[in-house]
Amino acid sequence: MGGVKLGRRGFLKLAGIAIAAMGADVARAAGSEAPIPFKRWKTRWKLGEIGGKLDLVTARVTPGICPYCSMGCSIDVYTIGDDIIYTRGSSDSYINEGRLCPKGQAAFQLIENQLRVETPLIRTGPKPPVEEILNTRTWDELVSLISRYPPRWRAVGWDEALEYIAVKLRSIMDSYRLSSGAPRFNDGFYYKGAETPVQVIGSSVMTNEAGYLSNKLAVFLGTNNFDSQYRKCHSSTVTALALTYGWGAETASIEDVALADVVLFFSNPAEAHPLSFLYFDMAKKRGAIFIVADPRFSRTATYADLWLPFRSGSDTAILYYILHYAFFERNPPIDKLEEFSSLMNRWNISWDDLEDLKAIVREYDVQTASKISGVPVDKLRKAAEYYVENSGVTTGHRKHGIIQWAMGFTQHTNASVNIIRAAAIVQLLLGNVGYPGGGTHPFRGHSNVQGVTDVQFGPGGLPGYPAVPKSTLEIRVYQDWKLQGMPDAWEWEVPEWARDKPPFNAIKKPNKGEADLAKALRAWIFNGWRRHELTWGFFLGTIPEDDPQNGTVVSDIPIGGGSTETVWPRRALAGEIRAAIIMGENPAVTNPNAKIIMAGLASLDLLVVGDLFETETAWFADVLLPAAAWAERDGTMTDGNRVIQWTYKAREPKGLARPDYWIYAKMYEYMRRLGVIRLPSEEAGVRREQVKFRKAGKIVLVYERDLDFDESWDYKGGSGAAEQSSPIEQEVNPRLVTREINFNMLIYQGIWDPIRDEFTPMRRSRRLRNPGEIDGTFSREFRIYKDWGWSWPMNVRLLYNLDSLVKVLGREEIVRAAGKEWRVTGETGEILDEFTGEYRPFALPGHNFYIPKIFRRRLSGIADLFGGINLRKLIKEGVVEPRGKFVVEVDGDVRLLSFEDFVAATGMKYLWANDTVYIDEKVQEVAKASLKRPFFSGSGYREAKPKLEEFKRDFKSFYDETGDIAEAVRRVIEKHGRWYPGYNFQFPIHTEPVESPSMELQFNYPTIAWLHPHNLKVLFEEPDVVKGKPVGVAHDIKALEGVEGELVVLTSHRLTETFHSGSMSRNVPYLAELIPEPYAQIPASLAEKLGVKSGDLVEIETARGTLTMKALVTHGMAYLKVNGREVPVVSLHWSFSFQGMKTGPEANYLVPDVVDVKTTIQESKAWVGKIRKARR
Amino acid sequence: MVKMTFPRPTEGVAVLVDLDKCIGCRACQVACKEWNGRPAEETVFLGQLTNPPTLTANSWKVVFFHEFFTKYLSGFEDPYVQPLPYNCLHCAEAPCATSCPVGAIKVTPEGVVVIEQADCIGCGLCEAACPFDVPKKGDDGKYYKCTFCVDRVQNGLEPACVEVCPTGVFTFGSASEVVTLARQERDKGRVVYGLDLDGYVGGMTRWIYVASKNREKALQMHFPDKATVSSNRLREVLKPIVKIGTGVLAVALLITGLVSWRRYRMLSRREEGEAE
Repeated sequence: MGGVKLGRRGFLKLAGIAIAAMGADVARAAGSEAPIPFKRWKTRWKLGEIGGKLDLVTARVTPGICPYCSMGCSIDVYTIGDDIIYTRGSSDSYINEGRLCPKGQAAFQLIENQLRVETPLIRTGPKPPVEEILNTRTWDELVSLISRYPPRWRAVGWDEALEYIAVKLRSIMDSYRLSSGAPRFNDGFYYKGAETPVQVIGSSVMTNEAGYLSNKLAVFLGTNNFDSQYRKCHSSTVTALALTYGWGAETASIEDVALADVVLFFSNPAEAHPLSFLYFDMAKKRGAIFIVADPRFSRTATYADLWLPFRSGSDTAILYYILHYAFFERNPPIDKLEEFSSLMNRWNISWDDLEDLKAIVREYDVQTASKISGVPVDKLRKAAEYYVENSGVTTGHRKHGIIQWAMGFTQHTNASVNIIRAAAIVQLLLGNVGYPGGGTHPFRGHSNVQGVTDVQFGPGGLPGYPAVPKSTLEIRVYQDWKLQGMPDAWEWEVPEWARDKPPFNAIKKPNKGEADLAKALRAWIFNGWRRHELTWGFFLGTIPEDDPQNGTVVSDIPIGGGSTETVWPRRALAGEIRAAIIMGENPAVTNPNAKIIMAGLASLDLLVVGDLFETETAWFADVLLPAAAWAERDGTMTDGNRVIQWTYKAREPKGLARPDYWIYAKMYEYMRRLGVIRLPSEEAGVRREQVKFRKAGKIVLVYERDLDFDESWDYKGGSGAAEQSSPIEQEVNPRLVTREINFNMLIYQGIWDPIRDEFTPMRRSRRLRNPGEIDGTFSREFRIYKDWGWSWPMNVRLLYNLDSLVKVLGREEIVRAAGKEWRVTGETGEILDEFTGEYRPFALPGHNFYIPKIFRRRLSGIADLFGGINLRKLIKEGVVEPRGKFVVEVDGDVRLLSFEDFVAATGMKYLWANDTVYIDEKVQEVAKASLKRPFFSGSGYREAKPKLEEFKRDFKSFYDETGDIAEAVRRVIEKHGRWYPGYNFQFPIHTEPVESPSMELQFNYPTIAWLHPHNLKVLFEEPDVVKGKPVGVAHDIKALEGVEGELVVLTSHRLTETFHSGSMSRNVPYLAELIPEPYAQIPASLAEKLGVKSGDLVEIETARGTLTMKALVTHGMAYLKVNGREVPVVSLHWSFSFQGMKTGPEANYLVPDVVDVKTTIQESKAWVGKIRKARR
Repeated sequence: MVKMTFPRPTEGVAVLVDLDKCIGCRACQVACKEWNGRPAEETVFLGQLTNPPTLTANSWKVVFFHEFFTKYLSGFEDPYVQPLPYNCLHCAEAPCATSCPVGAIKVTPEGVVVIEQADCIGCGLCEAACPFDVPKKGDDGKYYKCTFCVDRVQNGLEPACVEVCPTGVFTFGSASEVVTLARQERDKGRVVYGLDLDGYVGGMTRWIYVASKNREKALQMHFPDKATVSSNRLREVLKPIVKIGTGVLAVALLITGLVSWRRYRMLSRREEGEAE
């Protein structure tokens, strides 16, 4: 196994670094003579002598991936038996080169930790009463209330705990099935995903294997009320980028930032992702300019050439001013540059569309941007000049700029539609996407948040991102697609009977032989569903299979949406969610509006929590399961820039703790045995699928597939590279899950090489490739490490890199691979070749936007996915067992060929390894960025403008009439049919946060929030139980008028030494020592007004209540002039709460639970309150 | 009294600390504890990031944060916070080592200054002699401080804090190389602390700080104007006499030392009182 193999080598590298540096000087004996006669005079120390690590040399070394942020740093764990005696950064890792941040260096303290939960626990105490929680007016009051209701745990074994969960859940599910009739409805057999009263919450610190099983379990439970932490950190990034570029991910690898010429930081990576500065430092050395936009002087600002303190929530205005400078201030304007037209060929936009965008941009001149953001005019201008003049479009791609962001961008009601879209658009227009040293760098907060987003996208999505079916019509069309032989978009004919109905009416090229983006994306979704059917052994389609239009719909994938992390608590309070399974996450601290989430948790009939520690969330649980820590389990993790690495188990889990993947598989076993899980296909009596194709007007039976979904949950055994390494793995082997993922998710196809039986994330080579090899010139010239781990999609490291070799280096490359020569202009990635089994370049000549969501498939109309081989057999035993036939037309005659005959005829011997996926010119034509992208019904900006003006006038006059925002909103919606009538938001505009410090700005740029039904629940105080309780919003600053103190814009921050909810930092002694308490960072001029000194207590009051915190007084905090008035910004450190080694007031107690209108991420970063010196 | 022979300042090892590269992440502070097996200590938030607020017997390396106004490259004058990783500077001629009455402070051929706890009697003369507020008394009554990771350096490794640093703030190498590097940086117009110091510390320290001009304030805020301890001056004067080596004088010196130590303690207590 990899871990063992790497073992000894690791230690040898420990020595021999420094000795050379010292030269011969050491040998001299100066100082070594004994100054005191007859006294022992020590001058030599053995390795590890001072810290008690003398047995270091005999230790076993295993590399694990750090469990904290998303950089993917490798940590060498030195163990003797199960004792960890030392940890250090792995020196072979290109990501951290032997270095670590304080969290990584202290990560070992998560494992041997006194506070770990070591056995399953069942609650015996009563839960805190819901109404009383909602009614508290201060944090202290809330803590004293809930501490009167301790869980009073009873320690039990796994068998008892799992049975307890299954029995309770069966009664909840049975009563739901009885009352609703699910999964049997008039038009078929399926679960309505939103109505199943179970919420499953994954985690962003799990391995991909565990996260994937959590999604699988939710689907089998029939619920789409399923989500994970990513919702609260980057859901807006994922959606905004995916809808613009094709993928919701960081566009390049971390090493690429070293090539940047200007970096616009909208977050704080020096603190949240310290190791990124290994590469940012290289950029700095090359002379890159760093602009740090942050209301707080963060540690990132220590590298700043320009610090831009601004008002939280005004990001769009700043980004648009950059474009304003580019279009209207600089000469020549960028759209007059030749390179601009060349770039434009890669965007789905016309010159007229561009005029629409420019009409908006024109409005954000420097004065306006300054008024909104509070940044002085000269600073804004300097920032725009720095950024634009160092971008691809203005320098002919000699220079490129990066926009980097995190929660400061993402946690707003308008994050996906306005802020992040604006950043994505800036980067496209300035020619910074798809080129070295450019791109968008959203930094992800958790070690595997990118991976877990990939494998468990949340309600409405399946592993690998295909959407779940929204209607039975979609399933009928899908069945028809299957009958057409699982075609790619170009081989697929959208059936006539579906063309005028949504979502199929969006497809403008429905005929065979043509495709547009909508059609390509639909074919990709269908391909995804088929992968799920084959790997999970269940069914989705119609019975009989050959009558998609009239047959009975049977769907083992729940239909429709579901509730997300942020909206489910109010649904729980309304009685719609009765049970929740929350693993590796602590929403009691990380969710906004603490009272809402805590009351929601307390209201459940069953709450199952799995964690390392007894967290704040566990305080409300019925069952607490002990989870294994990071070095206690094997599996894959996807870092923030999509590089997937293997993390190795260094020791067995503490006590009875078990890896998450084991817990999910066991839950399935018990839930299945005790009747919790009943699939629609079972209810419909479907035992096998007849895979049929319609060819030349005839229906052909290709093969029969038994539905073996129970077997799909059997992860015992495994051979070859999937050899298991411990008794726990003998029960559930994570390597079999990895292999399953390889076939389940197109974007992860390549995580396992089934021909060589190699897990590609185990690659640990820092070799740069050579010209002539696949991506050789790219790797060598831009110093990209393509043989370290594996990256989705198809080992591509720099997304949308179609032509950087030509544009930046001025040359094409000829690559020799799989027995052929290939002409290449950008990064191609690599895929197994169906003819030779060798790797060949994937996206030719480079890869454009949306790839490989848009792809072609040689087996379209000929065979099932992967040729219909028995995937289970390949996954478990590594054996290729052909099952399906190949349907070919010869002279108008339909023939069924065996696998052998088909291979003999075509030479595609390895078609089962890659499903014959490829990219050609037709794909490149469709694969364009959606620079224009409507989010709502309505028209473009110029056309919508009169309507928008009317809407704003109405809003203001209704407010003037009633003096009540909620009433004004109600009337606007009544009059116009919706909030923001008429505008489709195809381009972003600035909109205020729900809680704005200026009512004038609120009426000029009304918040977008009221476009989402959840926000209207908050506005109108729903459900009934919250009515009149302090859990709402101060949408009108009048609401704070009687409150003592200074009005401030509030935001929140995290620090290098803390991690999210704090359970992984407050419980770690070395980190708790550095940040023992939370604090509010306050601008010095405000502090002077309040009479507050650093270290004094301040009270912060919002519409949600009051909190008392210590102050850090500094000039390094924004004190701005916004719209003519002084506006101080105060930032609260939010990683604390009431449980664990170190406790403190929870900032999220004050944060409103209004959410982004597309992704429901909470508005944590811009709200208002009053601040005053504390009386005590 | 201890008769010390120090390696020449350009012999042995040294570290260049480049403040321009420091992001204040404090990995060095944690790595120091981890390697040396020091426990975490109970702290509270004192209105600043620096924590613990001084070096302690269990925190041999602490990152200090100094706030001031400065001019950025963009030309704007703005607030700035400079992190400054701090530990024993390992003076070229360590006054702590010479002041130790029992020879518990060893100086190795690498120039590394190490307190050997087995020999330490906890008298505090080292603390009194140190111009940089470094040696700290532990619960066991013995003194502790950074050892330059002597058990790593002598076995072919960089100090733990040097190895862990994400941005390469610390350049560890032979003293001659490091001093040359520091001089080169100074010639480029950057500010250096650690070279050309008072004779009291042997003229230089083995941990040398370099920073750009607009960060100079941090060095001024952090380091004493003169690398000397005035209360120790008498001892300095007596030193040549001590070298003659009469027992009587040694005892006299010890008494003088104790008195000055007591005075220093009273002084520092008063300072602490003022600080509170």
